Amino acid sequence: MQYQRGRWSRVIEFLIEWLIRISGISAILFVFGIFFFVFKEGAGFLVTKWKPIEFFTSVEWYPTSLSNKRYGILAIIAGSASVTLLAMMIAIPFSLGAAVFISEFCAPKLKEVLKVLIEFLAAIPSVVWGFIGLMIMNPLIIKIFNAPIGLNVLNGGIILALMSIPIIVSISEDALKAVPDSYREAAIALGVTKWQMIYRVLIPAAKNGLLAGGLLGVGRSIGETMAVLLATGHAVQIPNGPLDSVRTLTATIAAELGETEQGADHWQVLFIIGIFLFSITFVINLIAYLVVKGIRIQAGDS
Amino acid sequence: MHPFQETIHSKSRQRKETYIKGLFCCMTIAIIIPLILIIGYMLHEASPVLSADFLLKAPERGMKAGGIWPALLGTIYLVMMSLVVAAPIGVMAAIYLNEYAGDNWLTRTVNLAVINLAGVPSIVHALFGLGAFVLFAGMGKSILAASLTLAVMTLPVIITSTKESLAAVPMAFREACWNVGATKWQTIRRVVIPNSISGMLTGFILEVSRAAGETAPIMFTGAVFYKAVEEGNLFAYNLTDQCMALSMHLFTISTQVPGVPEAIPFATAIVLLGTVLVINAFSIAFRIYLRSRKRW
Amino acid sequence: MEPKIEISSLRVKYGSKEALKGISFQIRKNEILGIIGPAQSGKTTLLKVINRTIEHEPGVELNGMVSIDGVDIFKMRDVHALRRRVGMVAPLPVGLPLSIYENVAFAPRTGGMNNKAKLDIIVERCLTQAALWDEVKDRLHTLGTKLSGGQQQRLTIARALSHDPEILCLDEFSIAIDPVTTMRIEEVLKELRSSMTIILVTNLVQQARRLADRTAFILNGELVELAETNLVFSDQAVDQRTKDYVGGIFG
Repeated sequence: MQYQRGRWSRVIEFLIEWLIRISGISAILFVFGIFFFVFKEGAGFLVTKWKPIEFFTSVEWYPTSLSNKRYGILAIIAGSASVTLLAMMIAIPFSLGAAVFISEFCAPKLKEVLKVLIEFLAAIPSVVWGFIGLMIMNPLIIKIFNAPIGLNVLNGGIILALMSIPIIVSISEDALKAVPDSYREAAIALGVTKWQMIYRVLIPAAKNGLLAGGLLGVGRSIGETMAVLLATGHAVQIPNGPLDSVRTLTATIAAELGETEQGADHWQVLFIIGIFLFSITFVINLIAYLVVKGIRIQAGDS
Repeated sequence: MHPFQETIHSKSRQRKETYIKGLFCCMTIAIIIPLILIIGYMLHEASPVLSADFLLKAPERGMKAGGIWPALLGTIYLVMMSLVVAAPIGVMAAIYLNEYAGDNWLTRTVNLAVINLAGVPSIVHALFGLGAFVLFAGMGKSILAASLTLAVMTLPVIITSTKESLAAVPMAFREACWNVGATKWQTIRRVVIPNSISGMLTGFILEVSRAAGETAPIMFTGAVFYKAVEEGNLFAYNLTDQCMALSMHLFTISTQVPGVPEAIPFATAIVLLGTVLVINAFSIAFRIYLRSRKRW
Repeated sequence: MEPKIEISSLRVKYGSKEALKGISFQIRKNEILGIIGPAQSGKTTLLKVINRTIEHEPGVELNGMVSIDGVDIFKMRDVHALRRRVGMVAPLPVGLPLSIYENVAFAPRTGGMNNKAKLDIIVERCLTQAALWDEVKDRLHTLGTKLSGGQQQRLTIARALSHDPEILCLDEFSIAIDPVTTMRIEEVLKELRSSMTIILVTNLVQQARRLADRTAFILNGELVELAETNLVFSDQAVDQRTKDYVGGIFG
């Protein structure tokens, strides 16, 4: 039985399928677009006046000086690095512990509740986290550590850790869940305890996914803006300890862009920092993606 | 000795086991408890000021008193606009990835791009929005430019959740449709999409929650320190206007305005946090409801 | 007499695995052709080639020719029209997540027909032919996925009949359903033979013996034997492998 589908409906179908294809590649277009437009704003300075060695190795960041403008971001990089490092040192152990608990030890009902709570944790906006850092952690740190100021690496590190934990837990839990039950059963059949099974069999089997989770946590921390803007203080310096104030790459852009004139040198340099940030997170995400793909190839072979 | 009798060794191993379980449990709780304490403290500090008036009135006396109505309205505009743009593109992109894309380098690149887009720092999104929408496209700082920036930022959320809900539809349904001569699009339109709507809606709700909380992308593309708007008027903003926004407002009154009584920033934070958490709770409840209503 | 379907040197490869190694035969109009053989011998692949759903499988290589009424199916521009000429019943019952009515109306609707009165007639006719009408006529608007396995398989047959196919392919249709329903469907097939050509792939050799006019034995992608059913199942089978399979020595 052949009826004639209206010519019209076939044309519409053709158009819709092309619209779908274009939307499909839109993600690629947007990623390129982001790189292009950020690069475009900073391109002028990049091509003519940029001194890469001084840029990356000098701690002297004086973009607003009237007589001697200097654009060294080493101290700012140190700011980002120190806060991220501290955040990961806190977040990774806790995340791993929570992921193992949820995946291996938890009763199903409690599992649902915990996963919901972690989703809530993930939903908290970054400016609210920054606010918590400013109004709650700040006085707390001053009181506990007798510090002169509570807006520092420690504050930012704790806040960033709390922000990164949900994503690391979520990916780690997926990675543990993906390990076939046959591994667990085989280990238990050999008479090992649950902990030994987790430590010797499960975690090594899931290591790719766990690594990817950690990497994405790092990416999240480096890219975080509002929370660190509010919580780490405003000092452009290499920190001597966790109680020192710092400025991150993200906070520098956010704090200073509003003060610059469109097209000015300072403006362009901030965009260049943006390119730098984008490149870092791009590489981290790429590595995490390849690491995860590594799992899939392994699983396919077995 | 009986072969299966418990030895000293096995007893101590079991004790170790219980400790380890307890340790992991504590670690999990350690993440949650501080949060509950913090929120409780914030509620306490905010209580003097929280009321319906707070939501419906404009700031007064240089933000040192009054309410947050313009910011609340601004956030609603921004979020709705961003959803209107991101939803169709995101859904269609997900349909492409799940239904049309072959196993080739292009598909792998698109998947990589989605992951990367999700990982772009929010300030870089702000720079992009500034360069592309405000300047290049000539929109100027406006609700339009800010919404588009938010749309690009939240696109991965919609793509990912839509893709999951499409993939949950069993392949057998598609094959049955192709067997009777339906085209790919007919199959998608009549069987796949109607059975994935729920997952898509969950994605939309998630998008709204993320867009409402973002500050950096709107800071330089359309959100502004102060704007006088008529109280209680839902149509007070134009797309070409700049606007106040809840997230931006929290930032502003916490850092840019001296002498604000502490209750006001706390209350703003609670409103923002509460809004986002309620939206998320909605999405979770919706998901649970859907699971009980399975159609196959 | 021109054959309904002609298959010439059909070779199908999935990557490095050859599912069909160059088979050739003809299917006559209005016959029931049984196809028997152990699992993974290429029987399902053959059916997927006939309605060209093989094209949805990734990485498939095709050689050779298949023609229906003398026309090469791979040269037909409208593959969907081809699929409407071929009804397909898969091993696992599939009720689409639509109402029972819409399940059967799906093919006519996507083919371009939306007249309610005509659709009503088609739905009743096909459900009756599939021996399902009496059980569902009072609940046509309930979900097709909520029916039992046996009912869903009959619903699939109703769906397959709804686009008036000239050829009906059944791929191990009785695997997941109870014997009573199987019997009922076998009766249906006997009635349908007069109006269409039926290809019955089955893992139950006795089913081929009951229903098929001729039977083909396919093993490891090759056509071992094709003859009148009673010959295939007797001492006069040409190939020893046929006798062994039919006799249950392997399978």
